[in-house]
Amino acid sequence: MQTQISFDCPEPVFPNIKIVGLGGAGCNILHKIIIPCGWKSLSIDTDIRSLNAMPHTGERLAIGLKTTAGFSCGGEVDLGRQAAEESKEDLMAAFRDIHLVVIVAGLSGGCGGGAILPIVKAAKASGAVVIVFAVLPFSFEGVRRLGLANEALANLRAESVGIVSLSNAHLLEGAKGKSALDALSFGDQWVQNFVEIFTQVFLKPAYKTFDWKDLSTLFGDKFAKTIFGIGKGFGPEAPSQALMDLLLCPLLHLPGEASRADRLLLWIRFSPDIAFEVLEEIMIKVKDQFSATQDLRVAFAVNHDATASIELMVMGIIDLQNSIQSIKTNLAVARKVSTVLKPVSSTNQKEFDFLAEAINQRGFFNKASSELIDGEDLDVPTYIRQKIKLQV
Amino acid sequence: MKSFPCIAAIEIGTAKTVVLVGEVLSKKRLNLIGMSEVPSRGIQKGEVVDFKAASEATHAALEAAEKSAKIHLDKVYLAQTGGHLQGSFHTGTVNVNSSDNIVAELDIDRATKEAKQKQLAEDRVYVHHIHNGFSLDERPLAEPLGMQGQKLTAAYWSVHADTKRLRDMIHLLNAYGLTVADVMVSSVASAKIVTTLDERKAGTLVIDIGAGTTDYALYRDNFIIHTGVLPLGGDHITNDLSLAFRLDRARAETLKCDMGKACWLKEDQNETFWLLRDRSIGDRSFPKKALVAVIEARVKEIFQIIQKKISPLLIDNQISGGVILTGGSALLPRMNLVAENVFGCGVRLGENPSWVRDDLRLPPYSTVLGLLTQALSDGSALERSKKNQSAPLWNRLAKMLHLTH
Repeated sequence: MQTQISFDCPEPVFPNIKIVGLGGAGCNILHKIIIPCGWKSLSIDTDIRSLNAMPHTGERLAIGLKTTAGFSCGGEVDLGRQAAEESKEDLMAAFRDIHLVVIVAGLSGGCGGGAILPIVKAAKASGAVVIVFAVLPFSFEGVRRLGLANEALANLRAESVGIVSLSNAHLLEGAKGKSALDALSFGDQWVQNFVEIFTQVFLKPAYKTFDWKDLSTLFGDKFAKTIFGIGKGFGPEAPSQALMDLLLCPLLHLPGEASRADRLLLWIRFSPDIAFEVLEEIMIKVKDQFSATQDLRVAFAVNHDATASIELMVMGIIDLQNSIQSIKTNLAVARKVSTVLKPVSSTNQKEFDFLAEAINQRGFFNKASSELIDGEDLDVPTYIRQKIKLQV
Repeated sequence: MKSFPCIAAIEIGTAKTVVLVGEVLSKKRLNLIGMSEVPSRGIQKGEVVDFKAASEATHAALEAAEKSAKIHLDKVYLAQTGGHLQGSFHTGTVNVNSSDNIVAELDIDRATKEAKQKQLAEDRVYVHHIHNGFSLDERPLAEPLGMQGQKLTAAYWSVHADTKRLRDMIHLLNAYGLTVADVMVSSVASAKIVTTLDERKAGTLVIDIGAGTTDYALYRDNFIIHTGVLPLGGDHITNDLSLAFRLDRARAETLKCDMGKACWLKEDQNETFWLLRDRSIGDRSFPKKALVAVIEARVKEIFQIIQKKISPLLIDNQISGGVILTGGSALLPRMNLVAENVFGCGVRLGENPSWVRDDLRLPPYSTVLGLLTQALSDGSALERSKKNQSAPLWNRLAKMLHLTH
């Protein structure tokens, strides 16, 4: 029996990526960004008039025609969820043969916050890896909207998806001195940056690359927090500038999350004149910064069109279940303390989630006896006990 | 060998241990001849939590002070603070003995003894009886000797401590071969040095904000009528910043000292700060409002707790002589503005007398300077040096603690 050897290499296989704009905020962003070649786009909303007003040329899907009669959800999350459940089959069809689904949504809206979970489930049922780009509300939008967004985020974390969140508060920080239009376009710009870097990472040839299977492994666990950040540096200070840019990336949510990644992907794109020692130093610094001692994977790409240029992307997860287990162990020690303390809630800020447990709230007074006045432990920072929201 | 007797005072604080050595020239004249300051270790909230570390730091400070003064110390005055200190108001009333109802020294002694001998729980010991004046037939008097009346009452604000915690502190000094000449409450020591006679008569609140504790003393009619200690201080501000911005202790302390302010003003609107300030990995700029919000919440809370504790003692809810802030943490900018807001009266930063050298005029040295001068002004220092006698208070304390003296 002869073995036949073919010298024809099969055509390269690229993942099918679909970017979805969900609800008013998501669709607005979607139609403002440039969809890269190789990506498909889909706008989903209950509001038909709004969908028709979208100028982009991608697919459009009106959901929940019976539930909302083609109108918006009016901020009602339940309506959004019912609309998505009503159109489950259409959604499954829209995600057929798609490997990676990126959903852009404002989580405080009725459609964005309510429909996102059924849509994520539909995409996952189709076999796709899902990343949600969540736009969080401004603080002045009130506690209810913030609560809706937080609830939607919590539900999403139970579904093994990547969640990249952009707080509108960060946009305000960066918008000082800019026109209102420019300020509002900050969110679009960050989604654009996200899309471009994803195209580079997953669709362009490279020395060592990632594919959507890496993402599938990365986001395989439930109840994990996503770390995502990008940074660029140019000129003689390119390495330090890129690292600084990465750590200041508003999508990264320092200082709360990026301290102990359980799994981390690091992608480095560099110009041909960059020395290997520089890359090695960057890898070490990123590893140290994110405490990525467990699982760090690195991919490289070369930008032949540039000189003295470095681009970085980190994507990883913090396994909250691991963290919860370790906190539980510590709590066993601190149980005596926590039983006498008045329950102290967190500050409703993601950055300060780690302070939610009593054991973490006493800092270097952790081993000191509690100073109780009116039932409050005075070693716990006042701003936490008084629920003062910090502008960070 | 010095020709005049010498006295030494030590403050074993949470952040620093300071020793001052003075040469007693007369009952009202003192010449500072030695000083040492070392960072404290093993002390938290004004109490010993690591005896070995605390001993090493304390002994280093004592050794340096001896070298500085070129003498060998054998006794020292100790400033005492800590959340275990508590105070209570006691009076002692006696009938005037003489047939003509003229108050004699013996009557005063009996009334005083009566006021001071109120029984405490087994694990408590008096550390300081603060005289609050007399009354003769319910007529308030500063000095009743020679006056006519039937019932003489002596009043004292008596501060007592947890025996074990006080013993820990005293053992630090015994281990160096020193005896403790007397123990004085820190708030009393610092209050004495930063107030003027007019302020004490008008009624002033002195707040000494240290690293581990905040001590306060309230004056009325030239008497300290109330003292207290909160186990809260600058360390808590540092801890709050450390948790808010996820910084290690050293960086949080530097941030507090370099950039911290106790309250936010409109002029700070656009100010930002860099977390690490070395542009290294992880450095990031934040609005200064976030930093100030953390500090202001803590500082305001400290003042509000004090306000709540002293308000029953105020007349018309007023502190007529104003508030004086002292202690190392009082140097935090705009601390006075927060205090003004809470207490609703004038607030100034305490300053030590001009007769000390410039660096000792700062608030962090109020307690140890006050301790030294209080020991001198009591007159006991000189007399004890000459007569080698112990104060009755110390005798009782030493007996209770089984200490040699």
